[in-house]
Amino acid sequence: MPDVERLKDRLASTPAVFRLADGGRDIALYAVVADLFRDRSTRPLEPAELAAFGLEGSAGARQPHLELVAIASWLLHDRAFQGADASALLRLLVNRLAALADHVRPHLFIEDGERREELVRTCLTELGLVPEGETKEVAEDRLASLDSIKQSALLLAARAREQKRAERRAELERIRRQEEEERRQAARTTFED
Amino acid sequence: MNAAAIAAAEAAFRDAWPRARVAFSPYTRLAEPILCRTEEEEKTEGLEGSFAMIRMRDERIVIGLRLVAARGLTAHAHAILAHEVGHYVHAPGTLREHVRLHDRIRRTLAAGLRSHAGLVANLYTDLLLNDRLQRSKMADIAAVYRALREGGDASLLWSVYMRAYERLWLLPPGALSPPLAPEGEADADLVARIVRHFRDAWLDGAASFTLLVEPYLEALPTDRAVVPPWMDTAGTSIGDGVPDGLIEDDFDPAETPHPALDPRLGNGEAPSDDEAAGALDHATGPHGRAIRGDGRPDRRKVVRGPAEWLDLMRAVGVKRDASELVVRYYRELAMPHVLPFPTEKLERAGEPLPEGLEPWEPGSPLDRVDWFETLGRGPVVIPGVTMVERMEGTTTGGEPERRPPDLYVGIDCSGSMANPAASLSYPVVAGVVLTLSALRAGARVMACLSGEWHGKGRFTETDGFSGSERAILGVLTGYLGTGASFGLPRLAKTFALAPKRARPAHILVVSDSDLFGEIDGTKDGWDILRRAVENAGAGGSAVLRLAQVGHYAGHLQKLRDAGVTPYLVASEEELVAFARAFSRRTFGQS
Repeated sequence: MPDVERLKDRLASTPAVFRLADGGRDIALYAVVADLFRDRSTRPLEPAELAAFGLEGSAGARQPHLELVAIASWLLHDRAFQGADASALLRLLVNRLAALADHVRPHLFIEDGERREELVRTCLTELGLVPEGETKEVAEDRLASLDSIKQSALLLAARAREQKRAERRAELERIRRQEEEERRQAARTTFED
Repeated sequence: MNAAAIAAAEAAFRDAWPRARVAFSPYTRLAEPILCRTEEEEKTEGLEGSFAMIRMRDERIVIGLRLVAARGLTAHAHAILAHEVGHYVHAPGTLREHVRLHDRIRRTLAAGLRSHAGLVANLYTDLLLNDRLQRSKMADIAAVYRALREGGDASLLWSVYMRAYERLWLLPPGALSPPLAPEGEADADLVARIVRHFRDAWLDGAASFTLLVEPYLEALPTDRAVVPPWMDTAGTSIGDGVPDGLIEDDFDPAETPHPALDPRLGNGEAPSDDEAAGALDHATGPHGRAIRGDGRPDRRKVVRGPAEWLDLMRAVGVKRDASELVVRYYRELAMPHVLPFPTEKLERAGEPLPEGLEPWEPGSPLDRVDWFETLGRGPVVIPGVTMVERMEGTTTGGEPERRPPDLYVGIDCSGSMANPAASLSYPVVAGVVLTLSALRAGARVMACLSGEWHGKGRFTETDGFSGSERAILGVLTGYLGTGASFGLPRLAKTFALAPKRARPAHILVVSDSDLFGEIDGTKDGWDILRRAVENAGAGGSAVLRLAQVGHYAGHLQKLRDAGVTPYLVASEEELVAFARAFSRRTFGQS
């Protein structure tokens, strides 16, 4: 069974060539992904499937997503993922990682301890693997508490709520100032009379 | 609660102490905790509504064993003690940081909620040090909170707070708190983000945390406890000790955005300082202090006014008399400017010759106490009664002696002057600078506040020349607000009508153009002034704030003729610079 801590350590020591944003631009990502499927998955990818990670295909993909695919490829090359289902692995790389990259800067999945754990657990869950010493329910709970996508949604809601509250406060302040000015004007009029 | 359970708790806490003391650092030096067995003992030690606290004024940990046993916390002695040590070592750490934290929270809260500042400060510092303890596995704080949960759920504030711990420590939802609505979940997530982001600069996160919990404070229940009984810093007074460094104010609540809008708490990379400042400006809007020429907010430190400083001291439980606190305020403000007072060289020289003992009075330098003779009079040392200092004469010697003149500080405290307890008074700062400099050099000082006009009005002064800093600063920081000028009768009585002083004194008066009216309107006024300066023996100075210098040329010449050197300042702020320069003057130095 895969050991989360060991996989986190692997992620923390991701080689520079897998960091596309930090000078790893020269590597051919489609080749890395092809190697990953060849070495660890149940079948190699078809050229059409690989296009999503190639130069032509990447035109439509967002750069942060590709950066995250490169980082995840290093992680997924670990022997713990040996025999990963090809369809599940492809879904993970194409869909799940794209969603994650929309919410978190990719380099944080190497540098931040919690984000490292999130990526490790995301990969394990998507490929149907349960971490060593945990049940499926416990593993799902842990991932839920780390879920950046969910947290981002909550953050957006909190932001909208606070913005409304700030607008309400500003409106109350405007009314207070207006009333104060009216009182001052009234006092001035009385004095001048 | 039965005696056996309390005894067991006592034994557990005694056993746990040596390891808990060094939980944060092997170099922690802290006195053993005070373990209270009875309610009376708790009252004596000031422990109320909590089973543990760290008393900020003397850094003593106090544990209420009755409540510990009743809540089944005996097994958590190590975690509880390590937590209390954390307040001493990590957050707030020092009395000064405790007050600064309290200040930031109080000023961030809406006026009606400021009474909760202690609670918020306690919750925030607990978060920081608990996170450190739990993550480093130095103590199982989560277990303490699980045990406390047996007493029932407290408030929505507490539930959100506990959920934040669940997030920080990756505990399954429900481990410490009941399920929350999405809004509560979002706020708990933001609390966790605040802890992660501000872990190393925790004071900077206090306002963010306060803004986040503010709505929950408005909804606190009144029919049950708001939080479990572990509020260990909220109710503790800082005692009589007033920490230094609180005069400067480096915080503006308007500059702190709500955590939901704070770019630093998002999922992106940490921005650079400039980017962060720009993003913060965007998030907070056009609030805060003055805007600089380049359009960015002015973030320079400003001096806190005395009224605001006094409010802060009251808020953290300082019980000292207001006049003493005002003295403390001006003393701290003056200290950076205090220099050795100029001394004049006398041709006489000498070696010290013991000439017997005299009582040592508070205010006299401590190093003058003759401890051998003091302790010879009795084992109990009572200042002014059993404490003595040795008096020394001089024999002829070869080195020149340097002796400073005594100093008379007269300050115009008429209706046009500000009350120094309400707003910052530069004449008082200048007076304190001069006084402390003089005392430091061994001179004695007489202080006088006068708000008079041709014999009418009020004044207050020290009982002659004194070495008691407390008495002198007490007079200088007082307030009269009567009359129009410094009264000439003060100088007449102390100098002009008194015999010539054996030890020379310098007369220094701080006033404005009304001083001329006071002298002109007094019979033989200029003659009285001249005789006063002569009898004082070390010259005179008048520091004057004049609107039109040319208009007073004649009066200024009359001052010089009377032996008084006029010093003109354009604003009250310049008085401090004058006081500093006066202390550095070269007369007497060689």
